[in-house]
Amino acid sequence: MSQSESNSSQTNRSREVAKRLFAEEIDLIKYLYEESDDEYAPRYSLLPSGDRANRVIVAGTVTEIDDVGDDSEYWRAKISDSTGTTMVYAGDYQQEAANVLRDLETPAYVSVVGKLRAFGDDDEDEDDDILVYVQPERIATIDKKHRDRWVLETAEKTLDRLEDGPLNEDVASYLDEQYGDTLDEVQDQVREAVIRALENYEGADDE
Amino acid sequence: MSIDANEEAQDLVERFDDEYADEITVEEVEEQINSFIEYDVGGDEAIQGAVSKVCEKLDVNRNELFGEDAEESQGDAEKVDIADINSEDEWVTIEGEITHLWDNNSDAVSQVGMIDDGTDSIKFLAWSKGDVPMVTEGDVFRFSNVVTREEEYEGETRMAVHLNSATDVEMSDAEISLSTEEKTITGAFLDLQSGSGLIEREQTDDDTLGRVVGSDFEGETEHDLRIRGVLDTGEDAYQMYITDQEVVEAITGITLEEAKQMARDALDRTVVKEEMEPMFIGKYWTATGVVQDDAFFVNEIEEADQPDVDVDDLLVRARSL
Repeated sequence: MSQSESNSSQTNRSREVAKRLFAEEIDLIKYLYEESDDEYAPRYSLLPSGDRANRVIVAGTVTEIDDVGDDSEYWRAKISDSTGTTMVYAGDYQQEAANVLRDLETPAYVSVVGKLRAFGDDDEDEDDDILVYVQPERIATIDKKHRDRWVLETAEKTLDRLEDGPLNEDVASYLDEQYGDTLDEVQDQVREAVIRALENYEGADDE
Repeated sequence: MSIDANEEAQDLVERFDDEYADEITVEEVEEQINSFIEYDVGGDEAIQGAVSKVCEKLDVNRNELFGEDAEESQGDAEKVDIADINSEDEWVTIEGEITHLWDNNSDAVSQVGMIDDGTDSIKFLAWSKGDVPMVTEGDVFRFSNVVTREEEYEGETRMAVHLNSATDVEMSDAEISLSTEEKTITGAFLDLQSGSGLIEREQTDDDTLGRVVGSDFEGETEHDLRIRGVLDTGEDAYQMYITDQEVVEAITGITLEEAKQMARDALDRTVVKEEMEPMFIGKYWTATGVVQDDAFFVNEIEEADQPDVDVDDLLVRARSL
């Protein structure tokens, strides 16, 4: 028995796909929830584009990396894409990512795979803004061509989500609760972010 | 191994034809079942083995033992799609094309290979003592009454079917369109997992890939290079394997010898995986290989080209929403 790998065979059957998100859409997230009371139920972020996300992949230029921890290291990084800035926070339990951030020189193109989390999420007052960030599982520097590919993929996936409408009834009712009359406006903001990203695109196929 | 020998023995004796019901007791049948259990045979196999012994002792065949309507009362196990096989110790009937036959040097095993019924493919193993007819690669066969088993392959638990004395093998003229065709998939590589880099495999006598073993393994091993990770398309997350040493060398630029040297210098094999990790993560790859369940066994892989998405088309789409 290859004991060293027998643990992972179970989880990989249901490994969650990583959602492709622009910084602007992450910034517009207001609500996180679990689908069940199960101890291991993943925490989902309600996406304005009509879906929900737990694991995400974001890519862009890392512009600032700081250790903002007190007693122990707590790394904060800012990832800039042409729609805005995504925050990444890596603490004790994100050692692999922290190791990368510690040695990384800005600016650089990076790809971050991780889970969406929020500060201010457990506050009782629902009107308080939450800060949604990525808690990284893996971070790597990438070439421009991979960053470019991520932009196109994310644009396409975001448009798919907007066109398909709410994923299910729960998502539809959460969207209504959280955004109410402003939903159209918010979805427009997401759409305009996609346009910005595409207009700024300077990939190899651009003349 | 979860059967109650006494209960099973009682069930069996009840099903014996009246003519023989007096000649064999529940205790004797129970003893037979237990003797198989003692040899690490579990579940239905132990029961079938015991039935074989009873037949031997009484000098009858199964039909006679169970009475004339043995066909019905014992019957063939239910025919299932290979794709639906996901638990062990079940008796099933499957029908498919033999896509691979592997070299086999073990006396206890008469044949081992892969069978594909169009819904999925599965490894089959025929025990010599089962004395079943030999199958031929490229032909379609019906395996009636095989038992499902769990096995380790490349660190994953995979299902297999075992053919034994209860199994009937018949050639079939059914048309099968195989499930295991090669697919090309492009996605982002999001995680390089344990069992990547420099690994050790159990030495095998034949051409088959030895299973991956840990440092606690006491048998003969040989080093190899391997990639195990996640290829995520945004729709699916594939458990990807590259088991071809040459392919791993070509992508990483690290040969097996170099990897071994790195490990020796650092006194730690994991440095090879650490060295390889940044070469993969966050990049888009176009990989060609065979998909089985969620596992993707890759034969060829290269960094993805520019996507065939047109920026202008996307802009039009975005503006017209």
